[in-house]
Amino acid sequence: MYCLVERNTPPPAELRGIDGGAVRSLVVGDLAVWVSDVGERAIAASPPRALAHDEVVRRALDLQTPLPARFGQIFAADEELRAAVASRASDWALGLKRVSGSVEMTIRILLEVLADLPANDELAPESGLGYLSRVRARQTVEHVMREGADTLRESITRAVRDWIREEAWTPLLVGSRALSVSHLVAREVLTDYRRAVRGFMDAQPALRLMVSGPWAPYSFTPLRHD
Amino acid sequence: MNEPADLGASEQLVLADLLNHVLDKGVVITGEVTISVADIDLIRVGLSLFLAAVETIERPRLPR
Repeated sequence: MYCLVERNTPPPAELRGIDGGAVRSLVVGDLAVWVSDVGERAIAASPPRALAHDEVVRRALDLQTPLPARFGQIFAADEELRAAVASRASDWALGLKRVSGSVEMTIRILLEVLADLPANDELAPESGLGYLSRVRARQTVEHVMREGADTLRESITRAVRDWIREEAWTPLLVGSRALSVSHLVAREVLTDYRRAVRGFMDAQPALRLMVSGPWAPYSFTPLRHD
Repeated sequence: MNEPADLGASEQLVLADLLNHVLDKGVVITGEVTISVADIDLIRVGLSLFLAAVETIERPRLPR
């Protein structure tokens, strides 16, 4: 399953998806799901397959804003998928309405500048005390980074709040230093949004920041099959 | 694992971002430059490249 669209939105006839499978539309009520067939019930993620998945979703995004599925949501048969869509049709229709006319923009900031671990030679030699010191130092760094990430995210929100419909972010995972914030932005104000982000970047020259998009609204989709 | 050696720096960044969007939870960008899912390395991105990336990437489309 690649994405959910309105029923009158068929995929281009030549469109191919994961492993070259022809993309087709499975209509359920007022909704349609773009799918292709794969040989197995579970497929491993790989860059080529992720690219193929996203390319199909992008083709839908060219026509209207879809509810994108994450990679690897596979059903045993069309009837199983039809049943899944039918059981959640109202939720997914609302989701489709929620993202209508919007795209996702994502800002990633590497938090390397906010904190760093003390070098090993600054800590006590290897011992119980040394080990505890390193654990405590790491916890302190992670705490500082989380707080810094929250402050940074709030600053970004203030900078773009006039141009976004919704915001989503990923909590800073242990071991990760990349803050990720996604915004749902109406297509007609995309230029204003970019201008606001550019203004934020210009005001924060020390930050290492990357903006990407427009994406299908992956961070705002309820399209999950568990 | 399928490291796209023929991609340039900016394309690697785009691919990294794409993987974060398309794949479900569990994608981690670490300070050690590895992007992985469920302990499987998908792509390595030079940390210095990431640090240097202050740019807007428009509508990423990668070579297939």
